Amino acid sequence: MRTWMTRAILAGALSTGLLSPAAAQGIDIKGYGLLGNMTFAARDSFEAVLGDRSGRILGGGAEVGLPWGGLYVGVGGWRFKEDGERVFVSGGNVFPLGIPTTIEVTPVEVTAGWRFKNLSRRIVPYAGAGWSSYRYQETSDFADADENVGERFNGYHLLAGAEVRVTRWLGLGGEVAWSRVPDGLGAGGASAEFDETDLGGTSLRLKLSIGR
Amino acid sequence: MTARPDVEYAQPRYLNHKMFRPNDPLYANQWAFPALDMERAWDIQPGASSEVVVAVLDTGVAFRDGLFRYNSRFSFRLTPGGPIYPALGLIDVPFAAAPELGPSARFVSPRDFIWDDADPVDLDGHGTHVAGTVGQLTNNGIGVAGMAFNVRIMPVKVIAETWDLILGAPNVGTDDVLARGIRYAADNGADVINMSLGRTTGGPAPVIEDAIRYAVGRGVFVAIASGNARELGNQPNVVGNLAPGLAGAVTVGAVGRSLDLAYYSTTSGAVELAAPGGDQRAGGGPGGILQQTLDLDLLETFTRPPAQFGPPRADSFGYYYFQGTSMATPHVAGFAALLIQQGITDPAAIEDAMKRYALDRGAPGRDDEYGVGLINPRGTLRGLGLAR
Repeated sequence: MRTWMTRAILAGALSTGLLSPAAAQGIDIKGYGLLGNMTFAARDSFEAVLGDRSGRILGGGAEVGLPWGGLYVGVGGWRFKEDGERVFVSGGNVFPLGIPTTIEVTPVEVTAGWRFKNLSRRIVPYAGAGWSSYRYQETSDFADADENVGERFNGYHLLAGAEVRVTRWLGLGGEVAWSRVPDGLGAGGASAEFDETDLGGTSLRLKLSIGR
Repeated sequence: MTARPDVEYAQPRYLNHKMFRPNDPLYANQWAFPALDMERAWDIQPGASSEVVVAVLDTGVAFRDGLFRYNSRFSFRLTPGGPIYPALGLIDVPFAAAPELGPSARFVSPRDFIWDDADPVDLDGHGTHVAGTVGQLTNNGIGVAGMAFNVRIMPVKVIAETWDLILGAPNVGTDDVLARGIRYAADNGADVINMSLGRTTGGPAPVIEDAIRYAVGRGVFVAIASGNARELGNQPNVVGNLAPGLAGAVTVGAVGRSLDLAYYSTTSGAVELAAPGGDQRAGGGPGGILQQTLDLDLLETFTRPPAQFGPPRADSFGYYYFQGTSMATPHVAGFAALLIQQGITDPAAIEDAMKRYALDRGAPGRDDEYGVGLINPRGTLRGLGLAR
């Protein structure tokens, strides 16, 4: 994970360097790494299997500020991975079965948004929305190959945050993102028992960016 | 990756796991376990543990060694107009613990409600066979296997069979005796009660219903045979009829080796689940359920002509194919023990789990032959992930 995040930051920085002539023409490019916490909307399902519906996320991406006011586009991704155990649900009661299972959620998010550059010299608020593609993987002990899950679901997200320019090339930001991934869950497992179908949720993220 | 000189090949990191197949030499004759996919179920839950107690309410269990003295005071006929068998007077009957049920430490709180003592020895063979299906020692290189082979067994004798009657037992298997047995098991630590018994005549049994309700209320799961009367008027088992109204108690029908309903298995609205009970009409002798029990040749001397009639021996054992919903029920009781060990401890949840994952047989959905279907231990023990 750490390697993946480092690569994302370096890729962002590298692309910034390679494309720096474009920045001179009004296009800002930066890469970022993110560390955050995701709280899934499918509260009962995640709590049943993982014991908690929230967990740490790590990721990264790149953003391009376009030469039209504060408009920017970005692409990024993150990963949530937690271990839990399989359960049986009866009458709303959850019975842990002691069978290890691992849940991994890896979204790719494409975002378009607006940076409010003129409000402050050092602090730049922003807001955006976009399309998400969530990769969902679930593996368990004692599972046959077709009993594990590896599927991708589409959704959408909204986000808002603010970035503080620490130096000319380094920024530190915080954002909140809300996503909805309809029918990403609910076809089986605990999510079907709880009738929870949304794989999305709300995440709080700290972002360290390199670039302008 | 293949372009890298240091890489010969690559493959996904598939997870390997143990594949348990009992080494008991007669396991190959126990078709019921592979039919239930038990080998993969045992991978998940290998036989429960001694923390789980299964009470076998039956004809007794061959659970101890000993020499018991009886007084055979009366001559008798087995059938109206049949030959008269003489009284034997004082006789000493040798008993032995069934080698395949394990050491004495395996048995907990034995109780005999037929003879009113703490020695519920088996004078019939039925209870020992049933106990074997629940928890026969397994993977010990001897004989056969059982469903939940690490549980402790509580022998509770509530049925009087031929020898008990010949020898003048003070009680027989009436409703009140059965109810006392159920309450006793619940009060003495049973987690599961197996009742391969019942009756098809007479009225309702509120005393048994109350006892089952009491047991379930104390956290005990109860498995009851649906009956073997399909070709004998198909009268439902009065005791089994009580289960559908109680979450935590189930009535069990029987299937044969083909997993079709056994010819004898009573069909009724009370049947909730099906399990292997054997069908020797369809499958011959080996179409039954194989377990170790008392040597019937040495035990049932009353099947000989009166001149050869003599005291029984209950200290010798053999492997026998039996058939009946009596044989199906302990598969469910053993299955319940596995679920308890796995973490589903509430009787109603155990029933819910069994039904949720049962494999539908016969008409789609619930029907009077198979109930909701054939038990599915492996699928049930796996439970639910988040999305599957």
